[in-house]
Amino acid sequence: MLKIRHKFASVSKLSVIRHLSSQSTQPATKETSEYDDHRLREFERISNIQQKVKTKKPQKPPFVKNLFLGIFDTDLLTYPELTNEQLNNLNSKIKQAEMIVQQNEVKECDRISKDFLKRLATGRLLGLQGSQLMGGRELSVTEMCRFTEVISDINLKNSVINNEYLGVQTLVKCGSDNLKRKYLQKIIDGDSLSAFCTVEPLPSKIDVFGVTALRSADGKTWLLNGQKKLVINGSDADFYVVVATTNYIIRDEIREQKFTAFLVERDFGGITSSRQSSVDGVFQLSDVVFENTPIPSENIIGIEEEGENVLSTVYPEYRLSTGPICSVILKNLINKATEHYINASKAPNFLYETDAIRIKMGEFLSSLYAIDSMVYLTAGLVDNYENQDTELESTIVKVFASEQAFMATSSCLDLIGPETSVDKHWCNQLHKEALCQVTLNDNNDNLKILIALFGLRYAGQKINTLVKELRNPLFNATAALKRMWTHRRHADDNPKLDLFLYHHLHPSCVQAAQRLEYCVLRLQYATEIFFTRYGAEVINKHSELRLLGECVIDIYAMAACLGRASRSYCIGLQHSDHEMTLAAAFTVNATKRVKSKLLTIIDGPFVTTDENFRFVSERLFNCKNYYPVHPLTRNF
Amino acid sequence: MQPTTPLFLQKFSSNAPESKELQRLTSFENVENKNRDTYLDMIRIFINRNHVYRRGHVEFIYSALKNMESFGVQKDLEVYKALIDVLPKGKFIPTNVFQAEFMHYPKQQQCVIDLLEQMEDNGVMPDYEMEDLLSNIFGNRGFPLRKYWRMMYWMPKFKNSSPWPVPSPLPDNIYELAKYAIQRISSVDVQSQITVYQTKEIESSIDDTWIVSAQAPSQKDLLKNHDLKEPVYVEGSFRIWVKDQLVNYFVLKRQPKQHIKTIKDDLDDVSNIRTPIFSFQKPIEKQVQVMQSVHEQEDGVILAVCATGTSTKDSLLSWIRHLEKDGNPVLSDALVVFTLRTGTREVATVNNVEQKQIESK
Repeated sequence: MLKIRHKFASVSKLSVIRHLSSQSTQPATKETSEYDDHRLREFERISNIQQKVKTKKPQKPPFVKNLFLGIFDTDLLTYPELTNEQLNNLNSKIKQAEMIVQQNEVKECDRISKDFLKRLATGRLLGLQGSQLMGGRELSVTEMCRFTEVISDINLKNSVINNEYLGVQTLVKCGSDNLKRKYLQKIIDGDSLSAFCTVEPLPSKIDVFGVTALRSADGKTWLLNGQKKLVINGSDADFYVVVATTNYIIRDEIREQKFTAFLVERDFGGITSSRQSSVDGVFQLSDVVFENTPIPSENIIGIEEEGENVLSTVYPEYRLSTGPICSVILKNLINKATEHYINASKAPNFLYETDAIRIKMGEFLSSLYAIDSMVYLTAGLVDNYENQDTELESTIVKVFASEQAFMATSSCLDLIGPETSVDKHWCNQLHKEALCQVTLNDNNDNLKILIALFGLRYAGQKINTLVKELRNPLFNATAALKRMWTHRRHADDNPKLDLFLYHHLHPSCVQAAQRLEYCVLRLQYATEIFFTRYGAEVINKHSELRLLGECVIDIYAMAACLGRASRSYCIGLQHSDHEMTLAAAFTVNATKRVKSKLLTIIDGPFVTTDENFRFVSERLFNCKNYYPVHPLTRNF
Repeated sequence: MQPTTPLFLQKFSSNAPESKELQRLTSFENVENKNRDTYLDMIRIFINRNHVYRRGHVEFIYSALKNMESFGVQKDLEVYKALIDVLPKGKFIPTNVFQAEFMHYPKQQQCVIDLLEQMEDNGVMPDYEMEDLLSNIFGNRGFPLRKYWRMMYWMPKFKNSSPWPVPSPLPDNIYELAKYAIQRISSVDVQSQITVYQTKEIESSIDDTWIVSAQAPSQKDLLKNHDLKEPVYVEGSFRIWVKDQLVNYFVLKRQPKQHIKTIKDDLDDVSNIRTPIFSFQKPIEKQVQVMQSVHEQEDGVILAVCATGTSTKDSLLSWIRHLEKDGNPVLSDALVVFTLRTGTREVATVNNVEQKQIESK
């Protein structure tokens, strides 16, 4: 106990002093047993604090972004681990958390209420990354993902996770001490709820945010005006994190916006919200309108006009959180479908022995395996390296996880058949949840393009001179001819595999590792070709960007699966031989997809149907509706 | 040239003095009620009068073709078929190769080719029945039938090639025509919205008519950012054809802006690709220069177009006021100059504070 006290003292002298002083000014008459009780609890809470020692390796160049350059850091194949102590600790905490979550009042609750929040607060499931002194848990990202899995079992998971990953995170990472004390404490105690407002009705201009905040004359308050759409918790929240435009920088007629993040209390006035039900009918989305809402200057989160930084610190982990949610959706799907087929089989027709069922279930398994592998690989990258750039990796997890969950649930609907036509069928419910994950906040289609652009931006900086050379072959004739010779095997779609990735995996992974290697090398080649063809215009080539994004997603998934399976096999985890098969199966399919998609990019727009689609849809927008005449039409 | 008065008539009148029929025949021009029924009556009378030989049918057909427009039947397929039906069946069919190749009965064949040509000019598409008719008269190797086949190849192709289809026959209503015309003009911008205003909704207007107006959101933006020191112009009337109908329209425009020549980025330079942390729209390369909208042309910036029922200046004034109410408040302060090609030309602000003559254009 002494030791713990000592720790406590070293962690925060300030709060100790505050405690002592409050004790001394307290009138003697008020010292009741209740107060003692409170103090006892406080003491217990503080004595439970474990100082977290975080040793991180130095920062590395971004892993997936480097793939665009054909550089594969083999650290990516070393699947991250927790130490025994950390893991045991985590497991015991998870067990407690599960007890709370499995309570009916928590699990089945479908409306945010004070009681619900209080229950979560007593289980210390709010403010997971908040400071331990405030009652948070200071979780690492890996632990956070594990907790998210647990939270994903409750009905209102989207509300809770949104509050956790956006509201709390913004305060923890960017908020000033003042804001933390004022608002974070309330969240952790379950007294208030946050909402994060980004989505807006489409603005008329190319501006990102139409919501504006103007500084008042005295400079101490800001006036917020505008509308935010589809805010999770929008009607239940006690305060909002709002990103608003605060300044325009006009350069050569081009307006550039500067954003600032604000923390807006509902009680500031001028805020109205209207509820809408989400697709799965569980949580609620609201449109929030701000009308001349005054905000004091100290409620700026981070630095003024640096709102983009706030977003880019918070968003990667928020995107990563989709992984555990979808993993739970898929796990439920697989478990329930398995149960369904065991029960539905009657001798002598054992459904679970049929090809149709087994192959499909195998596909689901490999999807889920890949999602899980990616989530914890990414979390490990964030945790193990100092300030590691993982915006691309976490975005990949969001897209991959939600897409796989969506595809699996929809094909499961089809597999089970007519009985899923009922709205309340479990499979239908899971399908709707997966759909929510696809579209919520940022949709997969945009993100795929973004993934490609993240990579291209990085690659563009590194290979700028090469691209300039390639784009002007007549000025660089020798280089062009030389390249034709050095890249002749690439032109035949048969690159020389010289990354030797299998050196870093279990020997039985050779084939799979070589597939991965092939994909990485082709990705590099495709990137170069893509740049050569369009130069700086690549940003407008959304069709190819989408394909490129999908390829990178698959490549990262392959790496994650292989790393995990190889590790499991080497240390002999349970079912590790099946893991190897799962990983191998995933690699084969993913390679097929990557191969054809990259070939499309390499071959260019005229061998694809893109040009045709461009042509026909141009007419569509001129006619404003489906234009081909009815098949029964006669001309004469 | 085809004979203006059928030759056979004189001959016929001297041989068979049935003056009553004669008079009817001579008078394609003299018929009192010129309509489809009387036209078909004329053909019927010709056939019945001389059903054995049907002398002078070529002259009759030429004379009938000439008078089609005055009877208003130039677009009627049935009428053309009735005219072809005048020719005897079987007699003109060639019986050997030489006849076929050297235009058997050239006068008759040429006459029907001319008839088909007139159909084509009037945009009347033949049907399969006409094919039977022609093949019964001139045989499968006849030139009229070849002409028919060529027509059936090309005419369906052209029939629907207009990107701005209008119903056939065209509505008589000038209001509908104006809508088609404005729709066509405003189709340069997919987002254009066509609104119909009534002048009587503006208190001080004299005319009571409609205004078909079109304006796109980007035009509203252009108008919103308009510099109030410069006037905006109402120009017109310009002409647009909807098939063979004329519609007058007017435009609201301002002087073109001097474009700042922005340096186009080096497309080879890929070292600075911008990506937002997230976007609700697809990212586009927008850093290079401000995109010019289609409304900003070299000779002026088009802000709106309209056609009014009366095409008077009063109705145009009502149009400006309607635009002002309809999301263009700038117009209440802007100087609006009417430079109309007909009538007096005046400068007028919308609130009628200032009116002065300007020189005619």
